[in-house]
Amino acid sequence: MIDELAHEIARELEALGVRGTTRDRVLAEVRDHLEESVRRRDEDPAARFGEPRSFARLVASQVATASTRRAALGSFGVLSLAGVAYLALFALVPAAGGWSDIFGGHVQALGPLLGVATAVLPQIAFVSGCLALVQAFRIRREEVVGAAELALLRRRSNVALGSAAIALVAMAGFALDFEAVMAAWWTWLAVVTCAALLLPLAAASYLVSDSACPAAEPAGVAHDVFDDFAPIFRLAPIRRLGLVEHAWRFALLAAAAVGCAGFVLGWLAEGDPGSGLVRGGFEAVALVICFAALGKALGLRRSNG
Amino acid sequence: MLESSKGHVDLLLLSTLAQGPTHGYGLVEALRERSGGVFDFAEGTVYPALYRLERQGLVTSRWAEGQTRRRRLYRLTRRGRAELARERGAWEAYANAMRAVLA
Repeated sequence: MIDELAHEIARELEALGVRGTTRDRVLAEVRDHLEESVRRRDEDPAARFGEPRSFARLVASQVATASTRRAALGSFGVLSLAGVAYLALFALVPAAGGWSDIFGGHVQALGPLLGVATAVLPQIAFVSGCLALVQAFRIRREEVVGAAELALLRRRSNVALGSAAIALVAMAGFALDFEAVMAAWWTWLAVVTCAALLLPLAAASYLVSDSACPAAEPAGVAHDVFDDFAPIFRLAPIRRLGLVEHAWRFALLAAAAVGCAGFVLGWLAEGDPGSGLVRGGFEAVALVICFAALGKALGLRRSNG
Repeated sequence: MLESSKGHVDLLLLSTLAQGPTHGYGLVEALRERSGGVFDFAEGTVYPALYRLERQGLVTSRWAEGQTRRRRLYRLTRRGRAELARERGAWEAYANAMRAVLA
Protein backbone atom coordinates (compact mmCIF):
# COMPACT_ATOMS: atom_id res chain seq x y z
CA MET A 1 0.00 0.00 0.00
CA ILE A 2 2.80 2.42 0.92
CA ASP A 3 4.66 1.83 -2.34
CA GLU A 4 1.48 2.10 -4.36
CA LEU A 5 0.42 5.45 -2.85
CA ALA A 6 3.98 6.83 -2.95
CA HIS A 7 4.26 5.90 -6.63
CA GLU A 8 0.94 7.50 -7.40
CA ILE A 9 1.97 10.73 -5.68
CA ALA A 10 5.37 10.61 -7.42
CA ARG A 11 3.60 10.21 -10.77
CA GLU A 12 1.25 13.11 -10.05
CA LEU A 13 4.11 15.37 -8.90
CA GLU A 14 6.11 14.47 -12.01
CA ALA A 15 3.14 15.22 -14.25
CA LEU A 16 2.72 18.59 -12.58
CA GLY A 17 6.41 19.44 -13.01
CA VAL A 18 7.58 19.12 -9.39
CA ARG A 19 11.07 17.66 -9.64
CA GLY A 20 14.42 17.32 -7.94
CA THR A 21 15.00 17.87 -4.24
CA THR A 22 11.50 19.27 -3.65
CA ARG A 23 9.87 16.12 -5.02
CA ASP A 24 12.32 13.85 -3.15
CA ARG A 25 11.63 15.59 0.13
CA VAL A 26 7.86 15.44 -0.30
CA LEU A 27 7.98 11.76 -1.19
CA ALA A 28 10.28 10.92 1.74
CA GLU A 29 7.87 12.63 4.13
CA VAL A 30 4.83 10.93 2.61
CA ARG A 31 6.54 7.55 2.91
CA ASP A 32 7.52 8.23 6.52
CA HIS A 33 3.98 9.34 7.31
CA LEU A 34 2.46 6.20 5.82
CA GLU A 35 4.96 3.90 7.52
CA GLU A 36 4.13 5.49 10.86
CA SER A 37 0.43 5.11 10.12
CA VAL A 38 0.89 1.40 9.33
CA ARG A 39 3.08 0.89 12.40
CA ARG A 40 0.34 2.31 14.61
CA ARG A 41 -2.24 0.11 12.90
CA ASP A 42 -4.36 3.07 11.76
CA GLU A 43 -7.44 2.14 9.80
CA ASP A 44 -6.96 2.61 6.02
CA PRO A 45 -3.84 4.88 6.03
CA ALA A 46 -4.22 5.70 2.32
CA ALA A 47 -7.74 7.06 2.79
CA ARG A 48 -6.64 9.01 5.88
CA PHE A 49 -3.82 10.59 3.92
CA GLY A 50 -6.18 11.92 1.26
CA GLU A 51 -6.46 12.08 -2.52
CA PRO A 52 -2.98 11.91 -4.18
CA ARG A 53 -4.00 14.16 -7.06
CA SER A 54 -5.28 17.04 -4.91
CA PHE A 55 -2.26 16.68 -2.61
CA ALA A 56 0.15 16.87 -5.59
CA ARG A 57 -1.78 19.76 -7.14
CA LEU A 58 -1.58 21.81 -3.93
CA VAL A 59 2.16 21.13 -3.58
CA ALA A 60 2.74 22.04 -7.27
CA SER A 61 0.71 25.26 -6.96
CA GLN A 62 2.71 26.29 -3.90
CA VAL A 63 6.03 25.50 -5.58
CA ALA A 64 4.97 27.37 -8.75
CA THR A 65 3.97 30.45 -6.77
CA ALA A 66 7.10 30.51 -4.60
CA SER A 67 9.56 29.81 -7.41
CA THR A 68 8.04 32.37 -9.82
CA ARG A 69 8.06 35.02 -7.09
CA ARG A 70 11.65 34.15 -6.19
CA ALA A 71 12.75 34.23 -9.85
CA ALA A 72 11.11 37.64 -10.33
CA LEU A 73 12.89 39.07 -7.28
CA GLY A 74 16.20 37.54 -8.40
CA SER A 75 15.70 39.06 -11.86
CA PHE A 76 15.16 42.47 -10.35
CA GLY A 77 18.42 42.10 -8.40
CA VAL A 78 20.33 41.24 -11.58
CA LEU A 79 18.61 44.07 -13.47
CA SER A 80 19.61 46.53 -10.74
CA LEU A 81 23.23 45.45 -11.07
CA ALA A 82 23.07 45.83 -14.87
CA GLY A 83 21.37 49.21 -14.49
CA VAL A 84 24.08 50.57 -12.18
CA ALA A 85 26.84 49.35 -14.53
CA TYR A 86 25.02 50.79 -17.53
CA LEU A 87 24.65 54.22 -15.89
CA ALA A 88 28.31 54.14 -14.83
CA LEU A 89 29.35 53.53 -18.47
CA PHE A 90 27.22 56.48 -19.56
CA ALA A 91 28.67 58.67 -16.81
CA LEU A 92 32.21 57.85 -17.98
CA VAL A 93 31.56 58.92 -21.59
CA PRO A 94 32.63 62.58 -21.09
CA ALA A 95 35.93 61.41 -19.58
CA ALA A 96 36.47 59.07 -22.54
CA GLY A 97 36.12 61.69 -25.24
CA GLY A 98 32.49 62.81 -24.98
CA TRP A 99 29.49 62.21 -27.23
CA SER A 100 30.29 62.58 -30.88
CA ASP A 101 28.16 62.91 -34.01
CA ILE A 102 25.71 59.98 -34.13
CA PHE A 103 26.75 59.30 -37.75
CA GLY A 104 30.46 59.36 -36.85
CA GLY A 105 30.94 55.64 -36.23
CA HIS A 106 32.60 53.06 -38.46
CA VAL A 107 29.23 52.15 -39.99
CA GLN A 108 27.23 55.32 -40.54
CA ALA A 109 23.76 53.79 -40.47
CA LEU A 110 24.48 51.86 -37.28
CA GLY A 111 24.91 54.95 -35.05
CA PRO A 112 21.27 56.11 -34.95
CA LEU A 113 20.01 52.54 -34.56
CA LEU A 114 22.32 51.87 -31.62
CA GLY A 115 21.54 55.30 -30.17
CA VAL A 116 17.80 54.57 -30.12
CA ALA A 117 18.39 51.06 -28.71
CA THR A 118 20.65 52.31 -25.91
CA ALA A 119 18.09 54.99 -25.01
CA VAL A 120 14.77 53.11 -25.29
CA LEU A 121 15.52 49.52 -24.26
CA PRO A 122 16.87 50.35 -20.78
CA GLN A 123 13.66 52.28 -20.14
CA ILE A 124 11.55 49.28 -21.17
CA ALA A 125 13.71 47.09 -18.91
CA PHE A 126 13.28 49.54 -16.04
CA VAL A 127 9.50 49.80 -16.38
CA SER A 128 8.98 46.03 -16.85
CA GLY A 129 11.36 45.20 -13.98
CA CYS A 130 9.60 47.64 -11.66
CA LEU A 131 6.19 46.25 -12.63
CA ALA A 132 7.43 42.72 -11.87
CA LEU A 133 8.83 43.87 -8.52
CA VAL A 134 5.59 45.62 -7.52
CA GLN A 135 3.53 42.59 -8.60
CA ALA A 136 5.79 40.22 -6.65
CA PHE A 137 5.34 42.51 -3.63
CA ARG A 138 1.55 42.56 -4.12
CA ILE A 139 1.33 38.75 -4.05
CA ARG A 140 4.02 38.29 -1.37
CA ARG A 141 1.65 36.75 1.18
CA GLU A 142 -0.31 34.58 -1.26
CA GLU A 143 0.15 30.86 -0.73
CA VAL A 144 -1.19 29.93 -4.15
CA VAL A 145 -1.53 32.31 -7.09
CA GLY A 146 -3.34 31.46 -10.33
CA ALA A 147 -1.50 30.49 -13.50
CA ALA A 148 -2.50 33.66 -15.39
CA GLU A 149 -1.10 35.93 -12.66
CA LEU A 150 2.17 33.96 -12.52
CA ALA A 151 2.44 34.03 -16.33
CA LEU A 152 2.14 37.83 -16.22
CA LEU A 153 4.89 38.01 -13.60
CA ARG A 154 7.17 35.84 -15.72
CA ARG A 155 6.36 37.86 -18.85
CA ARG A 156 7.23 41.14 -17.14
CA SER A 157 10.50 39.66 -15.85
CA ASN A 158 11.38 38.21 -19.24
CA VAL A 159 10.63 41.44 -21.11
CA ALA A 160 12.83 43.30 -18.61
CA LEU A 161 15.66 40.79 -18.89
CA GLY A 162 15.42 40.60 -22.69
CA SER A 163 15.38 44.38 -23.11
CA ALA A 164 18.32 44.74 -20.75
CA ALA A 165 20.29 42.09 -22.64
CA ILE A 166 19.67 43.74 -26.02
CA ALA A 167 20.52 47.14 -24.53
CA LEU A 168 23.85 45.75 -23.32
CA VAL A 169 24.58 44.28 -26.76
CA ALA A 170 23.69 47.66 -28.29
CA MET A 171 25.98 49.44 -25.82
CA ALA A 172 28.87 47.09 -26.68
CA GLY A 173 28.11 47.60 -30.39
CA PHE A 174 28.08 51.36 -29.85
CA ALA A 175 31.47 51.18 -28.11
CA LEU A 176 32.98 49.19 -30.98
CA ASP A 177 31.36 51.34 -33.67
CA PHE A 178 32.77 54.51 -32.10
CA GLU A 179 36.09 53.08 -30.90
CA ALA A 180 38.01 55.50 -33.18
CA VAL A 181 36.62 58.56 -31.37
CA MET A 182 36.44 57.18 -27.81
CA ALA A 183 39.29 56.39 -25.43
CA ALA A 184 40.45 52.77 -25.77
CA TRP A 185 39.97 52.08 -22.04
CA TRP A 186 36.27 53.03 -22.27
CA THR A 187 35.72 50.87 -25.34
CA TRP A 188 37.18 47.82 -23.64
CA LEU A 189 35.48 48.58 -20.33
CA ALA A 190 32.12 48.85 -22.11
CA VAL A 191 32.57 45.64 -24.12
CA VAL A 192 33.84 43.57 -21.18
CA THR A 193 31.22 44.92 -18.75
CA CYS A 194 28.35 44.32 -21.17
CA ALA A 195 29.57 40.81 -22.01
CA ALA A 196 30.03 39.95 -18.32
CA LEU A 197 26.54 41.20 -17.43
CA LEU A 198 24.93 39.01 -20.07
CA LEU A 199 25.77 35.93 -17.98
CA PRO A 200 23.72 36.80 -14.87
CA LEU A 201 20.92 38.06 -17.13
CA ALA A 202 20.88 34.70 -18.93
CA ALA A 203 20.93 32.83 -15.59
CA ALA A 204 18.01 34.93 -14.29
CA SER A 205 16.10 34.32 -17.51
CA TYR A 206 16.66 30.56 -17.15
CA LEU A 207 15.28 30.67 -13.59
CA VAL A 208 12.22 32.63 -14.72
CA SER A 209 11.53 30.13 -17.51
CA ASP A 210 12.17 27.19 -15.19
CA SER A 211 9.66 28.53 -12.66
CA ALA A 212 6.95 27.89 -15.28
CA CYS A 213 7.53 24.15 -14.95
CA PRO A 214 5.46 23.32 -11.84
CA ALA A 215 1.80 23.55 -12.82
CA ALA A 216 0.15 26.49 -11.09
CA GLU A 217 -3.44 26.62 -9.89
CA PRO A 218 -5.42 26.99 -13.13
CA ALA A 219 -8.15 29.17 -11.63
CA GLY A 220 -7.92 32.95 -11.42
CA VAL A 221 -7.19 35.87 -13.71
CA ALA A 222 -4.13 38.05 -14.22
CA HIS A 223 -4.38 41.46 -12.63
CA ASP A 224 -2.84 44.60 -14.10
CA VAL A 225 -1.07 47.84 -13.33
CA PHE A 226 -4.29 49.26 -11.86
CA ASP A 227 -4.22 46.49 -9.24
CA ASP A 228 -0.46 46.82 -8.69
CA PHE A 229 -0.89 50.49 -7.83
CA ALA A 230 -4.44 50.22 -6.50
CA PRO A 231 -3.92 52.68 -3.59
CA ILE A 232 -2.93 55.39 -6.09
CA PHE A 233 -5.64 54.66 -8.64
CA ARG A 234 -8.24 54.66 -5.87
CA LEU A 235 -7.46 58.26 -4.90
CA ALA A 236 -10.50 60.39 -5.71
CA PRO A 237 -8.80 62.90 -8.09
CA ILE A 238 -7.20 60.07 -10.07
CA ARG A 239 -10.33 57.92 -10.03
CA ARG A 240 -12.25 60.79 -11.59
CA LEU A 241 -9.92 60.65 -14.63
CA GLY A 242 -11.37 57.22 -15.52
CA LEU A 243 -7.96 55.76 -16.29
CA VAL A 244 -8.96 52.19 -15.41
CA GLU A 245 -11.83 52.20 -17.90
CA HIS A 246 -9.84 54.09 -20.56
CA ALA A 247 -6.31 52.71 -20.57
CA TRP A 248 -5.28 54.84 -23.55
CA ARG A 249 -6.10 57.93 -21.55
CA PHE A 250 -3.64 56.61 -18.99
CA ALA A 251 -1.02 56.04 -21.71
CA LEU A 252 -1.43 59.54 -23.17
CA LEU A 253 -1.21 61.15 -19.72
CA ALA A 254 1.94 59.16 -18.98
CA ALA A 255 3.37 60.15 -22.39
CA ALA A 256 2.62 63.81 -21.66
CA ALA A 257 4.35 63.58 -18.28
CA VAL A 258 7.37 61.77 -19.74
CA GLY A 259 7.47 64.24 -22.65
CA CYS A 260 7.50 67.22 -20.27
CA ALA A 261 10.27 65.63 -18.19
CA GLY A 262 12.27 64.91 -21.37
CA PHE A 263 11.77 68.51 -22.55
CA VAL A 264 13.05 69.99 -19.26
CA LEU A 265 16.00 67.59 -19.01
CA GLY A 266 16.94 68.11 -22.67
CA TRP A 267 16.78 71.86 -22.28
CA LEU A 268 18.91 71.76 -19.11
CA ALA A 269 21.45 69.36 -20.66
CA GLU A 270 21.83 71.14 -24.02
CA GLY A 271 20.96 74.68 -22.93
CA ASP A 272 18.58 74.87 -25.86
CA PRO A 273 14.76 74.52 -25.73
CA GLY A 274 14.75 73.04 -29.24
CA SER A 275 16.83 70.07 -28.07
CA GLY A 276 14.50 69.70 -25.12
CA LEU A 277 11.54 69.62 -27.48
CA VAL A 278 13.15 66.91 -29.64
CA ARG A 279 14.03 64.78 -26.61
CA GLY A 280 10.64 65.24 -24.95
CA GLY A 281 8.81 64.46 -28.20
CA PHE A 282 10.93 61.37 -28.79
CA GLU A 283 10.28 60.06 -25.26
CA ALA A 284 6.53 60.65 -25.52
CA VAL A 285 6.24 58.96 -28.92
CA ALA A 286 8.40 56.04 -27.76
CA LEU A 287 6.15 55.54 -24.72
CA VAL A 288 3.00 55.48 -26.86
CA ILE A 289 4.56 52.98 -29.28
CA CYS A 290 5.74 50.74 -26.42
CA PHE A 291 2.31 50.94 -24.81
CA ALA A 292 0.69 49.83 -28.05
CA ALA A 293 3.19 46.99 -28.54
CA LEU A 294 3.60 45.75 -24.96
CA GLY A 295 0.60 47.15 -23.07
CA LYS A 296 -1.38 43.93 -22.86
CA ALA A 297 1.64 41.67 -22.42
CA LEU A 298 2.85 43.71 -19.44
CA GLY A 299 -0.60 44.12 -17.91
CA LEU A 300 -0.70 47.88 -18.57
CA ARG A 301 -4.18 47.66 -19.96
CA ARG A 302 -7.00 45.21 -19.70
CA SER A 303 -7.98 43.09 -22.64
CA ASN A 304 -10.94 45.39 -23.27
CA GLY A 305 -8.80 48.50 -22.69
CA MET B 1 -11.95 18.43 9.19
CA LEU B 2 -14.60 20.98 10.06
CA GLU B 3 -15.03 23.53 7.26
CA SER B 4 -14.80 26.41 9.73
CA SER B 5 -11.36 25.34 10.98
CA LYS B 6 -9.68 25.62 7.55
CA GLY B 7 -8.88 29.30 7.94
CA HIS B 8 -7.19 28.65 11.25
CA VAL B 9 -4.87 25.84 10.21
CA ASP B 10 -1.79 28.01 10.68
CA LEU B 11 -2.77 28.93 14.22
CA LEU B 12 -3.53 25.27 15.04
CA LEU B 13 -0.20 24.06 13.66
CA LEU B 14 1.83 26.80 15.34
CA SER B 15 0.07 26.18 18.61
CA THR B 16 0.73 22.44 18.43
CA LEU B 17 4.38 23.00 17.55
CA ALA B 18 4.71 25.30 20.57
CA GLN B 19 4.48 22.10 22.67
CA GLY B 20 7.73 20.92 21.11
CA PRO B 21 9.29 19.78 17.82
CA THR B 22 7.49 16.98 16.03
CA HIS B 23 6.97 15.41 12.60
CA GLY B 24 3.93 15.65 10.32
CA TYR B 25 2.24 12.52 11.62
CA GLY B 26 2.77 13.65 15.22
CA LEU B 27 1.17 17.00 14.44
CA VAL B 28 -1.94 15.44 12.93
CA GLU B 29 -2.26 13.08 15.85
CA ALA B 30 -1.77 15.82 18.46
CA LEU B 31 -4.36 18.01 16.77
CA ARG B 32 -6.86 15.17 16.68
CA GLU B 33 -6.27 14.27 20.33
CA ARG B 34 -6.25 17.81 21.69
CA SER B 35 -9.46 18.69 19.83
CA GLY B 36 -11.24 15.52 20.96
CA GLY B 37 -11.40 14.32 17.35
CA VAL B 38 -12.99 17.53 15.97
CA PHE B 39 -9.97 18.50 13.89
CA ASP B 40 -9.65 15.29 11.93
CA PHE B 41 -7.49 16.41 8.98
CA ALA B 42 -7.09 14.62 5.69
CA GLU B 43 -3.56 13.91 6.83
CA GLY B 44 -1.83 14.89 3.60
CA THR B 45 -3.06 18.48 3.89
CA VAL B 46 -0.76 19.15 6.81
CA TYR B 47 2.40 19.03 4.65
CA PRO B 48 1.58 21.85 2.20
CA ALA B 49 0.60 23.94 5.23
CA LEU B 50 3.93 23.16 6.90
CA TYR B 51 5.86 24.00 3.72
CA ARG B 52 4.08 27.35 3.60
CA LEU B 53 4.88 28.10 7.24
CA GLU B 54 8.49 27.13 6.61
CA ARG B 55 8.74 29.48 3.62
CA GLN B 56 7.36 32.26 5.83
CA GLY B 57 10.09 31.53 8.37
CA LEU B 58 7.58 30.60 11.10
CA VAL B 59 8.81 27.02 11.39
CA THR B 60 12.04 25.30 10.54
CA SER B 61 12.66 21.65 9.77
CA ARG B 62 15.46 19.13 9.54
CA TRP B 63 15.91 15.41 8.99
CA ALA B 64 16.51 13.53 12.23
CA GLU B 65 17.66 9.92 12.51
CA GLY B 66 14.99 7.84 14.24
CA GLN B 67 15.31 4.25 15.47
CA THR B 68 14.28 2.76 12.15
CA ARG B 69 14.25 5.63 9.63
CA ARG B 70 14.91 9.31 9.02
CA ARG B 71 12.09 11.66 9.95
CA ARG B 72 11.50 15.32 9.19
CA LEU B 73 11.13 17.25 12.45
CA TYR B 74 9.42 20.64 12.52
CA ARG B 75 10.21 23.27 15.10
CA LEU B 76 8.77 26.70 15.86
CA THR B 77 11.10 29.63 15.17
CA ARG B 78 11.31 32.81 17.22
CA ARG B 79 9.27 34.53 14.52
CA GLY B 80 6.77 31.68 14.67
CA ARG B 81 6.34 32.20 18.43
CA ALA B 82 5.70 35.90 17.90
CA GLU B 83 3.18 35.13 15.14
CA LEU B 84 1.48 32.55 17.41
CA ALA B 85 1.14 35.12 20.20
CA ARG B 86 -0.31 37.66 17.78
CA GLU B 87 -2.75 35.19 16.17
CA ARG B 88 -3.77 33.77 19.54
CA GLY B 89 -4.58 37.28 20.80
CA ALA B 90 -6.65 38.03 17.69
CA TRP B 91 -8.49 34.71 17.98
CA GLU B 92 -9.28 35.21 21.68
CA ALA B 93 -10.65 38.68 21.00
CA TYR B 94 -12.83 37.24 18.22
CA ALA B 95 -13.98 34.30 20.35
CA ASN B 96 -14.82 36.60 23.30
CA ALA B 97 -16.83 38.85 21.02
CA MET B 98 -18.73 35.87 19.60
CA ARG B 99 -19.41 34.53 23.11
CA ALA B 100 -20.68 37.92 24.22
CA VAL B 101 -23.04 38.17 21.25
CA LEU B 102 -24.28 34.59 21.47
CA ALA B 103 -24.77 34.60 25.25
